[in-house]
Amino acid sequence: MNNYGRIRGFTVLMVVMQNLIWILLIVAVIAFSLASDAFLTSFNVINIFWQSAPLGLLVIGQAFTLITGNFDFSSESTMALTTLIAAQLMVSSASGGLDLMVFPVFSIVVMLLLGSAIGLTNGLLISYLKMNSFIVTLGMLMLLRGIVYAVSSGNSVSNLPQMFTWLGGGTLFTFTVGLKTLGIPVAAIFLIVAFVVAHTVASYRRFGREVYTVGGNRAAAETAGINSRKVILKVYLISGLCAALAGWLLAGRLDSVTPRMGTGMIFVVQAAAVVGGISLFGGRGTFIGAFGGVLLWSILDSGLNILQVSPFWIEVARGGLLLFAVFIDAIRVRFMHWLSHRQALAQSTIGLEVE
Amino acid sequence: MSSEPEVKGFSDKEIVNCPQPTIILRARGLSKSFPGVHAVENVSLEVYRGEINGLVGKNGAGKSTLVRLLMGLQRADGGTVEIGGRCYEAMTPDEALEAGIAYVPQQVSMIDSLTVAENILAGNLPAGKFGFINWKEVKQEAKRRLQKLSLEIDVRQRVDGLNITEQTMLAIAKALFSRAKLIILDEPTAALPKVDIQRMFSFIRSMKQQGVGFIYISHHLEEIFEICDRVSVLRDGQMVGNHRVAEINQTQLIQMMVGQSVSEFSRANNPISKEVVLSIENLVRRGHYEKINMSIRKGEVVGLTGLKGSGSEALAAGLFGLEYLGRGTVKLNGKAFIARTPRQALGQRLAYLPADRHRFGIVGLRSVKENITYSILKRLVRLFMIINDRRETELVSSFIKDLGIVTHSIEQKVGLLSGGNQQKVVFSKLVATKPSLLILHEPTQGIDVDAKTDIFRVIDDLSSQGVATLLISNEVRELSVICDRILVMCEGKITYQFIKGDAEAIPENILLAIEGSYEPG
Amino acid sequence: MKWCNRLFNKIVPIFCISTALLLLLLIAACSSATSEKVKKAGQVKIGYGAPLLASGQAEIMQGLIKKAEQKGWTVITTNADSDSERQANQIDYFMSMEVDAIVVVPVDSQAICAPARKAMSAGIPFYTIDRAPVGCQINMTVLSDNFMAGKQAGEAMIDLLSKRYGNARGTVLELQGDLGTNVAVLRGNGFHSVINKYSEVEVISKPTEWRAEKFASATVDVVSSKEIDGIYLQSDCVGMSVVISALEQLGKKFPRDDRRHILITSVDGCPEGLKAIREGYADAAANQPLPDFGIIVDWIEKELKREPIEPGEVVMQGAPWSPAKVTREQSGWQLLLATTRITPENINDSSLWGNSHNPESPTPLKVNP
Repeated sequence: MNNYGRIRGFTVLMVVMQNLIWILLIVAVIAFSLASDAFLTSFNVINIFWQSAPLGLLVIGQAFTLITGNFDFSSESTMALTTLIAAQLMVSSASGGLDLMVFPVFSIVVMLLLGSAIGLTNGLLISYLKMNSFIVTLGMLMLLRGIVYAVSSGNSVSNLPQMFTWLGGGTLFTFTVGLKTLGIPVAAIFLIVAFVVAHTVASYRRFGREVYTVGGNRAAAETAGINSRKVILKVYLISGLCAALAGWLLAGRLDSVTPRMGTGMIFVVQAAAVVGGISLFGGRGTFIGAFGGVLLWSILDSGLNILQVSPFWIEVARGGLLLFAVFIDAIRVRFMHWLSHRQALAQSTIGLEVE
Repeated sequence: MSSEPEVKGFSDKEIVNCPQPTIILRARGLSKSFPGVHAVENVSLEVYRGEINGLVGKNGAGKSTLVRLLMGLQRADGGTVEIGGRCYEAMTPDEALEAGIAYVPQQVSMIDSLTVAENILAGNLPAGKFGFINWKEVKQEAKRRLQKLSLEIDVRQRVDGLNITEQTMLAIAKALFSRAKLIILDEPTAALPKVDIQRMFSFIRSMKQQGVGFIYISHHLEEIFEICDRVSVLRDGQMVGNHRVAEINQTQLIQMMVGQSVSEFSRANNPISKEVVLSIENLVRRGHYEKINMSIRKGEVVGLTGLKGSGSEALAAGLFGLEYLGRGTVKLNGKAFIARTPRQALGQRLAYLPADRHRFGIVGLRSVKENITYSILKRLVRLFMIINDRRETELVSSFIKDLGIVTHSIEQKVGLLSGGNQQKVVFSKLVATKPSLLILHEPTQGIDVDAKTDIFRVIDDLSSQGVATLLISNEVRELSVICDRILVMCEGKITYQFIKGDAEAIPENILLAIEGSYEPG
Repeated sequence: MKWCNRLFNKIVPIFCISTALLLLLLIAACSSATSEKVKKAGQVKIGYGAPLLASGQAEIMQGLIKKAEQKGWTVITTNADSDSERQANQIDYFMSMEVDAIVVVPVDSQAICAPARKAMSAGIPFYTIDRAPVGCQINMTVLSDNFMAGKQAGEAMIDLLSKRYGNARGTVLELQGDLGTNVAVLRGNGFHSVINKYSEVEVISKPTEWRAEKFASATVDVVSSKEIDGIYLQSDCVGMSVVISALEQLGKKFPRDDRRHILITSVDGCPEGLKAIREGYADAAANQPLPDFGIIVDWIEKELKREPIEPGEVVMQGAPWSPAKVTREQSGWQLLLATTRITPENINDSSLWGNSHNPESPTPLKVNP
């Protein structure tokens, strides 16, 4: 094979590796729809997007911190706490609230502010006090969850006002298919919009560029004048805010807030982000890919359940996918480097390539 | 000598005084290339038993690559290594160790928290009944071994309690105990106080008596003359000379190191303006430098050079805000200059090219485009802080053209470019910030010849545009070509200034001045 | 090659997603909203959502499956692992699979309402077992009479205290379940309806969220600091073994004939509970007819056949759950199954599900009102 053929071969391989998530997604969709005709119905497809919404928002927040090379394990607890406080403000004590009957708009504002504040706290501890992000957010995970239980006394809150639940539970553009009346969930639209915004910020805005630079090589970023501490602070703020939004969506869908809300979700969030191409080493990954990761996760859940696979095996499958994703992530860095190295050699003018 | 415990070690029986010197190592035609650079080219080397063979060469001459090839840490593109009667084309580190090559690096890495005895016998602790370690025997054995080498170190002491000389000697001793026939010493005296150097030398000489061969790498030429039997000179990856020390003198040695071929590059004769960009008065930083007085004018390229620890690197880092600058009067463009962080320095139009570009200069994961622009994103944004793609691409393309950066697209990941092109990317990034003072730290390190010329041209162009440049480097040949003035620092003080055009401003003299042994006139 | 790179890095992914999304929606829209499987008459499929599989839930599920299979129905089961979001997702999947009815043991009584409403508005009847929803109306709930169970446990405790001291007095530790579930509230209320009549009996109540470790820690905390005469466990399925171990740790585990024995009554009648009574460490329990919750299939059948449901009483001779009351509550129809008292005397009765896990038991039982 001559040099040109080689270059083309390398390029194809590189494209495959970079877009692995889409290949997996297409394979999964085809496989499941062949295996069961209950999978690719409009009802189920809508459900997949609906279920993905809270996870998607959490993944957005997580992806920002991951790109800078840090972790945020606390987002599931932030989600629960902010939503719980918001819910308690709005409903009567009979439904688990505080009888304050606050107008939903205000409690939404409180919720988002609280989420940002928690994110800010994380950011200050990690960025300015230079504490380890793994441990800090793990600690916050437990602390915030404890506060959730303390504040709620173990009780759930329900009967949320419709204005509040509209985002997570409402639908638009109803249409009828066959005998069923379906609507596009507002949550799905919000999910897509959120990812578009995230992607725009990351790829086209100055802040996004700084995030990638800090994640790629923090020392180099500092030497070039980027205030890496501020950047890290901001990503944690985003993560906290996204957690609040995720809670808003989830509460809307379930029309209630339970103190257990979101427990254990953090693993799925990391998994979806990694599967979608956000590297645990920092500095790489796109939000489009992360979106794919979120979708893949929901598709997997939906498909395996519809096929009536035992829940234990579903967990095995999900864990397996996560391990596979981390493996690919580790390999990708070295493989891509080797691959491009070969490509660069093939193209270099010094002609060191030995035939 | 009969009842010796069955422990792996340096056996007395191996000492046989041969009337004829035998070869321990013979390397023939070793070559190794990296993208764009021939690191080592067709190098042949012979080391005999009981001989200390010095290896000299400038930074980047290929010494470390050669050593890595000999140790099997890298696979040679061509050539063979013959050792212990066997011929290897590609050695693994294990095979190298088996064959008896040991390496004592510049920074000895010992297991600091263990005692001397444990370190010596690491991996071979004699086990007694039930597998428990017999500590008494450990100490005795360690002591015995050290005595054989006439080393007096308390075996019960912890290694991190030893002074640096003892640690280095211990490292050498360890190498010997693993049956090394050839020991490669990399700058062994770099961290030693002068007093201990003699102690080290006598230790090495006693090893030499016992038939061990050494490769002695050093920048300190007077040491080479003192202790080595032969000396080999590497220049630009090639072995340019191998002589008995008694047969040559220092001048000839330096000439071989520096080379007589004149580079094709010559600077345009630009007039230097009278305007002072940087002025430093009475700058002192305890432990690093003192009484620093210098000024750089617009369009001037000033070189700053000295051995490691002489203060030149610290001064550059201090100016950029990476380290504490010290106390004194520093003015940039007439205004008082204070920069405690790189951001502040950049804000005052001072740009810095770091020596370690992988750690501080480039973000290897990201593209050429991003690497060039991430310092000046502020200037490229439009509404809503969105980056103006067209303006960015235009800017980056112009840099690629002007500097001749070889990359097949601006989205190419920088980590995959050749060293020279990476450096050009970093240059572009700095130039994009439109600095009035440019500080360059080893700008041509790890770059092939063609790219070096390009870099010179860039520096020249910038100076003709009025940018003042402070060039910190140990490449004396390059300094003499590109700098208008060269300041030499020794132990924290500026000791000499060479001016371009003067008769004395030749690389050999500069090298001597760096060593501290230049006598003008 | 610059355009090539732009293509691969930017446009292809966006292109991929948009086509994929469009394709997906197109296919989904074109295909029927529901999978058109020709259903043979009588091939009924119901979905069962368990909240977890420990402490009696497995028994409930098995009982329902048995009864459904007797009718020739298929049951699709899922496990929500105590996660209400997962339960909601699983209900979505049931709907995708076109089940005829959904039966669920809710993880959270308040959170179940949104998915329940969704199912019912799609025309699928929705039922809960063992816990009633709070805040919405569904087709029917089957519960054991938790109030009765609590009452029976209370009566047993009073009897035992009276036997010991001559009159009813002493200190009793009440280990409550998850106060978010109405089950716990009812079992507590039933217990207190009896106990509160006796002013010399002091009750210390501790919540446990139905978690074994909390049963244990509450026991350790209270028994080590106070003189306790009796312990009332709202669930022996979750708590009996850990409470006994806790007592053992504290050195207070004594069998019935010992003077220092701590009286224990409980609700559920799990194998652990029966074992404790048999060994003499516990004294009485109120039996929850767990495997008989599956009786809801009869009512599901009624719904599917469009037969009306009438309030009243259902009696089956010899069944431990009889008589059962059918009433109309805020959460819809409710079937309340009776509970029976377990004592050391009838401990080995084969009709107790904890003994044999066999719901088929013809032997009549002494039913206490």
